[in-house]
Amino acid sequence: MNAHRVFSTFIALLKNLMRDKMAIFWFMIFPVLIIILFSSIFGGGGGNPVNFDIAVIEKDVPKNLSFLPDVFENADNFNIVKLDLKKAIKKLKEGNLSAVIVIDGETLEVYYNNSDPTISSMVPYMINGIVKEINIYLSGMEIPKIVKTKSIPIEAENFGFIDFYIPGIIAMALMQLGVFSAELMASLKERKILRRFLLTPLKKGEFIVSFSLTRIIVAVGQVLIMIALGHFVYKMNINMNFPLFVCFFLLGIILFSFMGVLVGGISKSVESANGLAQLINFPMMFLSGIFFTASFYPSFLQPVIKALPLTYLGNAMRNVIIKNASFSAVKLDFFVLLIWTVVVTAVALRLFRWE
Amino acid sequence: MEKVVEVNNLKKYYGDIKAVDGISFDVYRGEIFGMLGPNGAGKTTTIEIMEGLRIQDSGEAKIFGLHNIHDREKIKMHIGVQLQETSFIENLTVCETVKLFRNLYNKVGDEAHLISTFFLEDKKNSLIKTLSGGQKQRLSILLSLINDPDTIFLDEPTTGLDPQARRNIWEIIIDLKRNGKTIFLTTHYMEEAEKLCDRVLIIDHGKVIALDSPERLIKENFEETPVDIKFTQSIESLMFDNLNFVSRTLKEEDVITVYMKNFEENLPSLLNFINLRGLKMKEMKIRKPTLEDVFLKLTGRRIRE
Repeated sequence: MNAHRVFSTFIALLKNLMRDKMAIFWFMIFPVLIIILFSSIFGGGGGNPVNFDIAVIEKDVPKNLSFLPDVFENADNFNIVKLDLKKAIKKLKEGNLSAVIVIDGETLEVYYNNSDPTISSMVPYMINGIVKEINIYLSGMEIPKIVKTKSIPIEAENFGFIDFYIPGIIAMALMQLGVFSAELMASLKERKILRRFLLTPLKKGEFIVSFSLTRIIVAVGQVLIMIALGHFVYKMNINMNFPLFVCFFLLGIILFSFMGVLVGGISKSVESANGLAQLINFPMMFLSGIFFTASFYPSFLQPVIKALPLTYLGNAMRNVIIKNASFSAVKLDFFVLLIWTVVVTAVALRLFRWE
Repeated sequence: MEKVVEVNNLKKYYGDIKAVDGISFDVYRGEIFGMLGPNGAGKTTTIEIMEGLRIQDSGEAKIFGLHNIHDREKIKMHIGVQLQETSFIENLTVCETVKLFRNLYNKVGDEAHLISTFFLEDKKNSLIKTLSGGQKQRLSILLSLINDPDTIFLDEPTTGLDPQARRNIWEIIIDLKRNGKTIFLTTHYMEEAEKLCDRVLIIDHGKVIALDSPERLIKENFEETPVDIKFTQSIESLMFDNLNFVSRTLKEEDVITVYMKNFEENLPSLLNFINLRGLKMKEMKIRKPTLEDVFLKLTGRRIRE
């Protein structure tokens, strides 16, 4: 291994990559766009308390129940909107209101949005709770408080959507950077560039090391951009186990880069390499718990999900970036990824043809 | 004369296809040695075996007396190679590519001078992917010289180039010979082989057909003079076959080629014959026989089909 040759080849491959506008888009900008897009769809609500907009219509309020509107106004989690019945029902139908309570004598009619599962499961239940309290108060009974509740909030589970999301996208970006090396490898092969290198003193091993270094450098760039975005824009909770993070980062980039080398090596043309890379990219992107959790998928897909390496890399990244996880917490992820890496690298180096 | 390359009964089969089927030849120091043959004749397979990129099934290929496979690493330090239709890393500039190859051989030097001798000066900061075919080919030959090799292997150096670009490459190759390099090249252009090569090896279907200097190949095979005639009407070449001064005839599209013995003496008889038949000529061209005629005579086929 000659450091001078490795370095020269590394610089050449890095310049080549940095001048490829498509590659820069897919590897650097695409993951950032995904984060921005998904956080604007699902984000925001994160750890905030839930508030429901409701309207209280005083159709016929008996004298002894005149305090009723105030009770709802003061209740937690309800924002009272002042509207008349017709407008309120219209807004409810449009989905802009959670519920409408009509006080009609001693009956409270509760209209609620049944299309939103959060509202339909919570709002009637919350209103019932309030009404129960009122009935007890009105009956004048003094209920002995034998059983008491005490709420103790635990901060540990207060991760926002973005905290889970960004580590997964980092894992996905590493996967794509690696797997799409297939295109580069196939084109170097198809256009006989690798054969030409073989006729210089450059050794195969030196070329592979130079190539891997370019992937690692670009991956470091990806990670820095995404962590910075998470930290400065989305106030992500970063609590990183740095040595373990580096370990999973390297495992991930090596595994997926050699997956790319393997695909490029066995493909007959650049087009087929690209197609095959897509075939690997898509299932991993969607089934590995990056966008949707595994439980979202039907049971027959679960074995597939459990076999995909990105499932483990995503899981490990989440644990080591936001939970400062110890090795024992990510032991399974580590060993599964290690086995994948050893097997894929060995097969890639064995099957790779320079021509 | 010192032998630079010795090839002995070389064979390489791909299944039923006998790509190289028992080829032998030597290349001497300082000559331009050309391997001429149609596409698929086995030229590239032979040259790539010599470069150590392919392994022969049997037979021997020695470069500087070294074994083409066992001593591959040693050989590649002393040969220059231009592969057929090679490209380079596409988003690097010409200058960066030259530097990269310099670094791989651990050579230092002046890129600018080398680049200007190959007429690439105004392209030195252009990306490889923006180069024309001729520019790429010149770069490819330039890069084959980076390690200052004694012997240079050029695989179809002018295929796909326009006539001007082709002549540029020829000048470069003649200059290389002048500087004492030995050059082994393959081509399927007759004109190129005639113009450049000291000796030509003609191969077809993996077998050697002939090996000599272009002049001698032509002289030995042809005492006849080819005459190309275009007639106003379509006729068959057969009608000339029975003339005693015609050795062979050929019809290609509307051109009839008549190979004549003792041309000066017999030309009046040919014209007479044509007149007697009432045929009218549109065009008549008397030319020197070329390697194309040699190939045609030896194989019964034209080289480009």
